[in-house]
Amino acid sequence: MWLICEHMVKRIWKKGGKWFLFLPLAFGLLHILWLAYAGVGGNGYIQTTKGFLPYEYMVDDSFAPWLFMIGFGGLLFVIFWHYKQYHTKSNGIITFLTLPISTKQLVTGILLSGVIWVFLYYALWVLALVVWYFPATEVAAHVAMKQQFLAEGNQIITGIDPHIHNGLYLAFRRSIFLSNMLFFVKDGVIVWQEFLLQMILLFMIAITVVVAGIVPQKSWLFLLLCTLCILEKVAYINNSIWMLSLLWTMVMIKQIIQEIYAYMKYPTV
Amino acid sequence: MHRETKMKLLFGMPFVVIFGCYFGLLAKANDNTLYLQDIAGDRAFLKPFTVQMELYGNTFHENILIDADGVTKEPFETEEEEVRMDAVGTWKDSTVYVYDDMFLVPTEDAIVTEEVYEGEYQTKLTKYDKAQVNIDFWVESKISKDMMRIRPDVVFAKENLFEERETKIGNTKTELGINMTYFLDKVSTKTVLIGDDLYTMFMTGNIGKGTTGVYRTNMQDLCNTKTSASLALVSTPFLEFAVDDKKCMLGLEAVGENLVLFRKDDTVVWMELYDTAGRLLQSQHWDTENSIDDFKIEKTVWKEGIGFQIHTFKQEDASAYENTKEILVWVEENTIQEPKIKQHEHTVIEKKAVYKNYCLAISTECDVPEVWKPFYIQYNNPPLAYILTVYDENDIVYQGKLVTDWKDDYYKCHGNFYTLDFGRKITEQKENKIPIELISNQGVRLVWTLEILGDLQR
Repeated sequence: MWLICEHMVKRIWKKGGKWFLFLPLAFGLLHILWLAYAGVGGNGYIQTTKGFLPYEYMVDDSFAPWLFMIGFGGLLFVIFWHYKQYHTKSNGIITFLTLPISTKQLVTGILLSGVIWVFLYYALWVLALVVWYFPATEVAAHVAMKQQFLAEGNQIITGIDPHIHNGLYLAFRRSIFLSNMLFFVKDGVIVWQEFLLQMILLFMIAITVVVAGIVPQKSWLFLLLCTLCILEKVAYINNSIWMLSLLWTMVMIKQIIQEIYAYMKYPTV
Repeated sequence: MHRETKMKLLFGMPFVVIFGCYFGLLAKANDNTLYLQDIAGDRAFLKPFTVQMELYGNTFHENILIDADGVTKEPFETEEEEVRMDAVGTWKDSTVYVYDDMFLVPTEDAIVTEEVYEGEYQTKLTKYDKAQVNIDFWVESKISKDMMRIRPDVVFAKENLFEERETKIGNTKTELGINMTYFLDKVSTKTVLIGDDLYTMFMTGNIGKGTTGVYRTNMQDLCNTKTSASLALVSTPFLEFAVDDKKCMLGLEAVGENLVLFRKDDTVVWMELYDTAGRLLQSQHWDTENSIDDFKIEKTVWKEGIGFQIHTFKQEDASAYENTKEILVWVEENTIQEPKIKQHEHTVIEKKAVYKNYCLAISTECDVPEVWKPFYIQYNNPPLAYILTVYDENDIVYQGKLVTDWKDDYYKCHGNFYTLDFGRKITEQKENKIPIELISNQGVRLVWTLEILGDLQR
């Protein structure tokens, strides 16, 4: 099981997974740092404001959320395409069946590889955004220290301590992007149910992508993914149906796992 | 490392990281909340903030509530519940505010007439010829932090406008009506603080003589007694006032020591001088049209020991220059003297947006509301200068002067600095509304919609 899992993880790494794992993250973090230095520009800001930027502003105004989505989509496509190749460019799914392991272990190993990739991607972004808080705010404070302040009545006020920050918790709570990664804040309350739903949805996405790639008749599962994403958002808006959404997601996971077991037992090419 | 262990770690680590971050940050939340409360100090949460914005003499108010999570609640959703607060001046290093929430109470010595109607519905109509009007003050000082009120008497000379109605069916009282609404629609006050005295001009429209007056209250008395203070009727000017839809007195410009100044449109000024008993000594009408050309009166202030200072202005072009004239009107030996005119040219509108350690980034852009467009066209697209003030209960949290610029169909206003304690972000754009969000580093988030209410041309 772990053998096939390691093999698949390495294959996806070689097929381009590494680029989608690190490149968007690197560009996103660099842009956050640049905003900390240069100030947030664009909508609503005529004069580029420098320094004293809360972390949530930097993150929300940077390209990081877009890069996260691009990277995630790209990674899913790489996984999907990699498994699709077994039908078009190799001996097909028969290759797996010749391995001296049971079908159960084989299926588990393959599914695990997808789950590892998806959660690795998510965890890396969360960790990086937490760690990046410190250099980004340090840069912002450094820029702020150089500023001069005018007061009403031509009185100049200096010596303001720019090292006061909101803190990591509030940044994750207030930022639209960061709160959608960990704390789903609705009406000022953290909705932990949404976080749970997010985790299960990631799990669902991972196995759906693998199954959609490996079972040729099940390409429509990609459509299911889109439906799930919409459902997740609906559940987020309407708090009362989150349990229903959760239940439905679990049922779908069971169904999809059954599908791949049935296929691996009697594969049709 | 063994292959199996390596893969198990790879599988398990993301979950450890994600859940570790989740619960780690949640655990930090408690410390953070304590920190916020420490910093906030007096500024306890769930207190109303009043945001005041002055725009060419028009003042807009918004009331907002915040809680510890920085969630904004709008306490005054309807106009009826809105509390208006006007800063009328400073007294002993404290600011005096007036709450404009008047209501009528019958006076003790009022002549009461009762009319009883019997039939299926037994109705008792009680009419009063005199009532008291409540005017609330808030003095932001160390002496008193309580609300104080004065109660001028109002006489209904012509019509019995203040009446209570009580209707009964059998033994059950079904309805109690007070017809104050019509009356209060026509009521307006204007208050100025001169020295130790608070002058309140009370207006009831065109109802009749005796219903208008300038009242004087001593601030020391007001603060000491807390609930009520001696009230002296300084004068009872009888002029043809009108009160517009927004309950603003048309004509009344300023109240000084026994001297009341009125104006018509933008140019014609007239003054009335009263003695301490309230008798009219002199009335002087002065058409300023020839003296100040096409200058418009911006505002009038009373300077103690000097007189009225009338500020006028004329926009030269779209640049940040303006042309002003200062007209001085004063009284000597119970006679209104000939006004003096002083002209200032090319006063630069300064761009400032700072208050103490709270420096704000003032920059916004949104569509020009329809009501603004004639204003822009008439004044050849001038930059708009306005003062944004954020009041806490006891502190001015922020005060700064903003300068706007505009192009095509949207305008931009911007101050100079980004702030240590506040950040600001435009959340949405609606016509006639400027949504503004202030986020304090100390956990205070203010979100409000600034509504452009009035006509900008005075």
